[in-house]
Amino acid sequence: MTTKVFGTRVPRLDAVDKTTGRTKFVGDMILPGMAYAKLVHSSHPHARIKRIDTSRAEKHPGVIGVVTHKDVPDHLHGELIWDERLFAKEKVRYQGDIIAIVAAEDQATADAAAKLVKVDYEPLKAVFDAEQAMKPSAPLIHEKWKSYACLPSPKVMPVWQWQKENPRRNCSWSSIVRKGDVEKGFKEADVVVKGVYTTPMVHGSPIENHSVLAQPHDDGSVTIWTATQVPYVVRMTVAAFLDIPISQVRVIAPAIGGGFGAKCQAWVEPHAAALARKTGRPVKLVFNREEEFSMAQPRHPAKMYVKSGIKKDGTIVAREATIYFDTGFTSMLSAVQGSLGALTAAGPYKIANLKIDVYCVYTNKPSCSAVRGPSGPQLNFCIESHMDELARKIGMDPLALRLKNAYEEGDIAHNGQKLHAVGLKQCLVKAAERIGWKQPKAAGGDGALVGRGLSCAWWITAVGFGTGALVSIEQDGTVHITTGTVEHGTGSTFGTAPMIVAEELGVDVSQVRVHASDTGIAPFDYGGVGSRTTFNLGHALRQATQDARRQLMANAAAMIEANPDDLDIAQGMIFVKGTPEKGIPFAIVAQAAPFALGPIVGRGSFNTMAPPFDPKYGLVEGSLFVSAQLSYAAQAAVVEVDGETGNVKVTDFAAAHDVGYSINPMCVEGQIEGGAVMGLGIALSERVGFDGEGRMQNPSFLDYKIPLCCDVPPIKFDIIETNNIDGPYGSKGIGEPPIVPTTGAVANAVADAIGVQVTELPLLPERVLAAMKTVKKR
Amino acid sequence: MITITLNVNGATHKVNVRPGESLLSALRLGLGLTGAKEGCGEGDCGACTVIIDGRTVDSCIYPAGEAQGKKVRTVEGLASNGKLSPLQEAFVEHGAVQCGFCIPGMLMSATALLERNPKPSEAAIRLGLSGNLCRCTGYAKIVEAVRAAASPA
Repeated sequence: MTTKVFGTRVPRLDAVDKTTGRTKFVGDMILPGMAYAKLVHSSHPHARIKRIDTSRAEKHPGVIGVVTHKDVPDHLHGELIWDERLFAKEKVRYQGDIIAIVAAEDQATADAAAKLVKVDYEPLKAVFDAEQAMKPSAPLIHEKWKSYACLPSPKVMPVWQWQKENPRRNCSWSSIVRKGDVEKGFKEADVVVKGVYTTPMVHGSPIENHSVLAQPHDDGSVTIWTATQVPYVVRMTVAAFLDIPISQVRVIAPAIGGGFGAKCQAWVEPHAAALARKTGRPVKLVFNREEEFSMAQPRHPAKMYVKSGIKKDGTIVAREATIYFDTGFTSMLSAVQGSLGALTAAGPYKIANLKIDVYCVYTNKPSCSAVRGPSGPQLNFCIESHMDELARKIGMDPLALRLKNAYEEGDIAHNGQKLHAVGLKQCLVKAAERIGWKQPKAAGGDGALVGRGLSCAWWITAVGFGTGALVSIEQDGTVHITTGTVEHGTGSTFGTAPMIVAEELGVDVSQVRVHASDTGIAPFDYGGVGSRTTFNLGHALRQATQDARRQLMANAAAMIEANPDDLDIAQGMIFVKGTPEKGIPFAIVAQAAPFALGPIVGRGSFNTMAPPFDPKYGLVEGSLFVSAQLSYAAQAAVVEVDGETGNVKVTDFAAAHDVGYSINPMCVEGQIEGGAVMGLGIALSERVGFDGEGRMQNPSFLDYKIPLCCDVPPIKFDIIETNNIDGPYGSKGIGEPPIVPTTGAVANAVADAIGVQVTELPLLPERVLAAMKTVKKR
Repeated sequence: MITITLNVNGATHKVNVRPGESLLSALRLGLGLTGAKEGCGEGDCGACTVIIDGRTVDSCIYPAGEAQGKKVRTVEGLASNGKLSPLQEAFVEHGAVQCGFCIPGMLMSATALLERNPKPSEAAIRLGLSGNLCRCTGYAKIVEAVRAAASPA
């Protein structure tokens, strides 16, 4: 493809405002008469509520109002499975369940008054582990699970029906894969290897905490500014919880200070809206860091059992896996977690016989959601560690084992989908080469043990939720993009979208303006989730810009008496092809258009569809995404392990990603570098700890360690282009894939250094030392 | 409420604060300078970093009253006459900005670093920015931008 703008290093349009402090985040906003809010949380992990007394809080000087379950419609809601209440009514299900919300004249008063809400509890037996929660002796967390409704979508309803026909104790969602006959496969194998892997709860922890500002209006409607990845989902959820039409709810997501899936679902917006409507005042609710950690949608902890049969030549003949994801007190996006787990648990490998069971299980812990690459880092740690175990057992090079089994162009995957644009092997070869896989290992400093590790993955771009976009041309030649997509940092909306318009229209990126994520003015978009924004917006914008271009050319053709098909645009001029010197300025045509053929407004509307699949090649059940748009990746790490302390230092790191086509290289690189470093945090240091009562032990950045600038090595990246026929300009999603293979690569490098796999994340020094002792004993 | 006098970005302001109120709160609520952000309120994340008399501080745990008689600099003071500072320029050009929430604090730490050490090594840059958490970028392009600003082409 010959391009002028694509592939160039163009600053994103929001960068200048973000470096000057001008960008307004929700926490920076103040409205006249604004009240400050504080949530009241449960102090028990699992208990019946006997009585809620808000009288002392309501009488507290400076308090404007208090809202509990009595003030809102008495029904359940949610996003996919409707198992949530706005405010706890009969019982609480975790330490943090929301009892009430208090509004006051200032934050200190709201904080003080929240402590005056008194709740009498009758404690119930609680459970904090997914595998335990499925045992018959475990307390039931959702007694009425079978009566719950789901999103009334033709895609969700039959799968929810399947869930109800296949119930398991405390399971909110299950997904299964059945292909071939695993027992027969294990008999054919030369070696059978089993493994058990564990990963903890980790947090997306964007630096901006959840922030909501709700303004009520006289007609009963409400405007909400909120730090969300999904404004249209928030609109739907607020309307449903408060029993008002969605047209009465306007949701604006201004600048978002990072999301990573911690903001990919409606959460406290309905609470703030209910309080604003009751008090008649604008209400601002901003989480502190402790609330952010203890409430806001972390990544599912996982316990993963895996067993594979392999032949001496490296052919994997059978794999069986049972995966327990701890979903917490409500299901949130467990349907997504389970569905993706079924798709990714097999790994991107040709395996003839597969049996995979994925369970998302209720516990008395915070609700987990779809954090960047949901299920990815957990399963990659399990599957890729297990792959290296297999390689060691048959004495094969881990790279060779992966190349032997990796999917290729035209393969039929375990979900019955025929694969296209499969850059997996290129990624593997490149990542390995970049850390010197074939060269001898360099010696470690101070006698440290050196290890190298490799991991690969496939990941999906979310399908089935659409995006609309408008492209209008202002009279001075400025080009406006209006879309519902969200800019939570990735650059899809303020970095890549303007490049698409500039490329299609032959204008400079600096001429483009973006108006995004306001449900009151922009066409629908599902949200900044599932690596989907550039994929969907790219298609919608391409349509909209080509539509605007046709209108522009028709206007120009009328002005210069030419055939529109003979015209071209370059450097701000419109001219008959071949005679650029006789052109007419773009801006003159734009200025005249409203008084000639009419204002220039291009429209685009697109939805990514799931690719076709044939169930005769494999059976995936209980899954929302049986087939998917796929991205491929491999990462490789070199580590030094201190033999005395067990401390792991990553000294070299390579990430190779098949992105289909790179429209905006700076943004693609930023996703790879940022995702891999986030993955390093999961591999090495991040974990949320709980005490025996389900109380979070480390809800602060002091005790929850994310990577610092001095902790991380430079990330060597390679962008592999495979030209995806379904993607806009050949591209694929890249928001999530970079975090997926990191855990496996680091774990395998550590295993290479110490001679044994560490089976629990993060790879803390004490765990590494304990694993080293098992080697010495052998 | 107590009235204090703050010198911020070269201008003197009278601000009403509560006893013990943080400098961050005084800047944001009292002066409407919302560039510095609150990410943790505990001095862990660095989003609230400002420069006081040449040294970086976490303004969320720095009492506003302590800043009296000192020169406070915030992100709003980095550009002059509408022209970005070389560091701001480098952050924009090198793709160092993603969500942007950590950027005001990051820029103040980088500004103080280059004033102290105009030609820092990569290790010195990484150490100098380690009080500022960024969750988006993996720090790579931020380090690249600081290096570029330190050695203009």
